Amino acid sequence: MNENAARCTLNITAESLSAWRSQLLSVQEQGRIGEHVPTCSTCQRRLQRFERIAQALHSQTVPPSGATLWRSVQAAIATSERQNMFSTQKIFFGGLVAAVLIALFAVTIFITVGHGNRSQTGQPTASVTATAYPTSTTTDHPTATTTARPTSTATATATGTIKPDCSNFPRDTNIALTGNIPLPPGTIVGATGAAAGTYSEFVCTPDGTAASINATMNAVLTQNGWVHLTPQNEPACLQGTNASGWLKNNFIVVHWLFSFPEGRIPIQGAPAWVIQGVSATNYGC
Amino acid sequence: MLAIPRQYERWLIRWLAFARDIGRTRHSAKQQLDKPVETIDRSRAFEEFFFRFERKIFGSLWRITGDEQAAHDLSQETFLRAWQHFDEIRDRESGAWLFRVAANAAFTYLRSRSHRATLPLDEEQLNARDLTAGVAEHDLVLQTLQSLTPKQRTVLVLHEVYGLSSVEIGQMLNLSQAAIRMALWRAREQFRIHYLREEDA
Repeated sequence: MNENAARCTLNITAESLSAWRSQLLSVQEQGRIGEHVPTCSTCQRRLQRFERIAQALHSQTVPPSGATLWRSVQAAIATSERQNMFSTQKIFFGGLVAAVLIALFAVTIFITVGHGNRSQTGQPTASVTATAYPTSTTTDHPTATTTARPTSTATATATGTIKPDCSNFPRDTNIALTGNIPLPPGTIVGATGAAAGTYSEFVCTPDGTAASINATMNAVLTQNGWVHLTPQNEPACLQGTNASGWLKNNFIVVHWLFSFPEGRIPIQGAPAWVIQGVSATNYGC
Repeated sequence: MLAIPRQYERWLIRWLAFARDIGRTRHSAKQQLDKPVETIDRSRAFEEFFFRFERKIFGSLWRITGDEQAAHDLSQETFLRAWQHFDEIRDRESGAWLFRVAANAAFTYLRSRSHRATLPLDEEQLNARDLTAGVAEHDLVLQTLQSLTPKQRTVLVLHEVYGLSSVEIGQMLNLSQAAIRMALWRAREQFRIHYLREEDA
């Protein structure tokens, strides 16, 4: 190649000429070779060679394709559109399934949590929250050793309202009572711990507005988490009592929700009570 | 009882409307007559677009791959992508977008068949060729093309046959101007040696 390039008066190589033909050189170089080519037979022969190559490529007979290819493209487009449609449907139905699952989950949660919220239609509901705070491990709750159910002497009034005698109830001095209505004077809140895993709580109102609240936790509180408390041995006036709570590091927040059967409305016009601050140390927790 | 909260009602209504729309679309896909006017216009415009560029795309792919069936498949793939992007490219006259897609599809194809991407020349056939016979001439051009690397082949075909500039090819194939210059030179040299069978002047 070099020997051949020497024949060109400007020593323009075939490679440069190839680049010149394809306008791959700088403007100056393009101009310089452009002026030279008409005067150089060697460069002209090389360019003719490039031209013959181009002609050979152009002269190739490309196989026919049009109609066949068009049909194939149409078929491919149709397939693609169907697949897109299928994808859209997948998204839709996937979303639908997800929505149903979420709805089921929500319903499950609703049922689980709302279990304690059940109240019979037309019946007023009293809501009582008892918060149990563990105290020092060396301090026993005053009623911790009491395993017997608190007793009271209930007297029936002419109207049928139960009026218990609260004097025998074990008192829980650590309890704080709050509520959106004042509790009746002489209301006593107590708690008892029985066997491990059993915890009882009660409220006694001497005027009979709340005869007793007595529910027993049967949950084994050995690990943190949600516990559901199944009341047992409730007095008749507290049927439907239920509770659940969240145990974390022996700190138990128990929500008590009471439904009073018709005719046994302990607090007239009272939508709820809130009792907080029940000490429950060593009540099997 | 399963009660649907009010705030979810509108989402449910939307899903149901979406489902109804899907049903309608499926139905209209089956019945050409129900196609909206803009869909028909788009289809017609695409058909025109296809026949404007089909020979160029198929021809370039046939030259690059050296295989009619592969050229057919890759052309189909290229035009399918063109359909999917038709709204963006329908007004472009140069077809550079199509060439880019086609060339890249060809590269992918050749890479997947790398052992066949470059075919050695059959010297016996070259010696026995009769240049007066058109078929042999045709085969020789194809054979020489196939002896080039995919890059050399693509650059040479796009530049010499379809007149794409080095700048366009560079952008299309992500190649520098120096790489294109070298590819063109080597391709021409290969043609000089094997096709023209000429010594350098």
